[in-house]
Amino acid sequence: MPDELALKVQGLEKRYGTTLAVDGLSFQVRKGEIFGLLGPNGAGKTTTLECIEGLRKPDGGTISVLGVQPGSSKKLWDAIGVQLQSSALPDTMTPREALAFFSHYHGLTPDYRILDRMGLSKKLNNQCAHLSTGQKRRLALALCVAHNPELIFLDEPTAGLDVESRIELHAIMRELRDGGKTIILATHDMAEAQKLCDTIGIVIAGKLAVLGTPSQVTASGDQRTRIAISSEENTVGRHKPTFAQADFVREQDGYAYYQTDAPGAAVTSLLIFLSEHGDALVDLRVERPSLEERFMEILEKGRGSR
Amino acid sequence: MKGFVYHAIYDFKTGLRDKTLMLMNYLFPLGFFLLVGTFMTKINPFFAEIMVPGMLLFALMSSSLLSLPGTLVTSRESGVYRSFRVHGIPSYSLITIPIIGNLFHAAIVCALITVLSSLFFGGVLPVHWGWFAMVFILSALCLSTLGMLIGIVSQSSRATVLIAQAFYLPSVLLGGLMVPADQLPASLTAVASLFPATHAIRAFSFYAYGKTPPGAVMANPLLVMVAGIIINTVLCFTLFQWDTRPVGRKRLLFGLLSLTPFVVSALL
Repeated sequence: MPDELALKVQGLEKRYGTTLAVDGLSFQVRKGEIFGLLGPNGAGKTTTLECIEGLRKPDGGTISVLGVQPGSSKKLWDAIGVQLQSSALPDTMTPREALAFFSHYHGLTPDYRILDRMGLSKKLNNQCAHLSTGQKRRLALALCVAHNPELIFLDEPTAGLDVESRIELHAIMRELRDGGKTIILATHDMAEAQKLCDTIGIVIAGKLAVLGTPSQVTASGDQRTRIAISSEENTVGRHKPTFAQADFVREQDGYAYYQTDAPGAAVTSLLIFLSEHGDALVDLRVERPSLEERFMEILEKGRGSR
Repeated sequence: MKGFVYHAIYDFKTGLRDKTLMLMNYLFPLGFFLLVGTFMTKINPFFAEIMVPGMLLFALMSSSLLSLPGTLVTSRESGVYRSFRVHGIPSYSLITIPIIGNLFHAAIVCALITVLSSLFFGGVLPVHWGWFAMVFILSALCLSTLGMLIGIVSQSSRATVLIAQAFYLPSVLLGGLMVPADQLPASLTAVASLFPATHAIRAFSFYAYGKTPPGAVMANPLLVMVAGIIINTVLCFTLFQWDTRPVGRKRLLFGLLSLTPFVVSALL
């Protein structure tokens, strides 16, 4: 079950005129995971998602969504939930009507509790034109999951949301994943991807630049782990010792900064150094390169190779 | 089926809730009817004879040509259709439901115009009510499918207005809604035959009011309208686009096929 595939994309290609928007993209998503599709604006994330969702016809490659070719059956529309990047509803439609509208098309009796869960209980009868951006996003998510789909596509779901709504949406996404749903999340918010995703794929210029867990992706970069150390006598900052495993970078505000490829050995060496000099440790921080830094590195490489 | 029915009810309610639709479906045609009813019968006594069908067609054209295509283009451009698509809503719902909704709104306005014109403005009522209803339904379908097609092939909201006006204004001026079509010069009569309203008014006159029936079979207004409905419907289903991207020019050219029965009748 854990290795059962929810989605398989093989050599996906999509052209707009002479522009190759998606260039031979291949990846697969296991059931029950949150898969993050990352990339800068115009990288081809939305086009890829739209091909998978059946909104656009690919020019090459194969896609299998829950074992079915997208856009080919009504059953598939019932099995997937899609929140589009720019989803819209008629201005005069209310959240209550929207839920009933789509539920009836999915052959279900509307269950309005999902609107309560999304914090829209006081807006049930307000027309969409009078909802805030956050409320519209929450409504879109409610409509996307109301028919209990197996596979959920979220395209920039937290764009334009305030911090509180963003945290709330993250909690809902985790809840969905824990409930056995598979989520494909397109985002350019690296922190969001790092927090939520089990696997991420970074797309640059229509090609998959890197694929793996957030930790694997981060660790695969050229950037080194940073160590910041502070002690009562600032012995390290004053002596600036060098070790085989770590390079001294700078001393600032009572902290000595190092870069290393072997953080365990480097920390041990620093603690021994402090002990030998009779100094006491005040603070020690080990920071791995963030996904955002790794992303920027991949982006720079991508630009360099073009 | 449940989804289709709920959608149709929602669509009908929208026609009453949306200010623009309310204006174009009800307020504008009824306001114009009251204005024309008050003055035209005094200026032109003959107008009483064509007041009911003329004002009905005016109302039908307002809702079908000025309101229906604009709503469609706005929905497509704003991504509403894409949102519908990802829930598996079929294209036939999006094509047929606005036409059905338009028919219901038009029926309400039609009833009001018929009753009010007879009560207050001396409007002549039809002789054959069955034919009156039949011609009304065919006219509404012919104009609604044309309006739908205009929305489907229009590249933008601005283009929609221009294309719709290209049908609306000549229909009002030449279609026999205000002035009897047989008083027009022969050349203009042929031009007038290019517009569905002309055939609708002829059909009302021949079938609902029992006037002289048409000669050539191919110029039979009912036949022309039915052909128009079929061609428009086929084109609507063929050319419908979910996407927000601009509609290609090829679609507009294909859309011109809609004129085929009207061109044939004009030539005859």
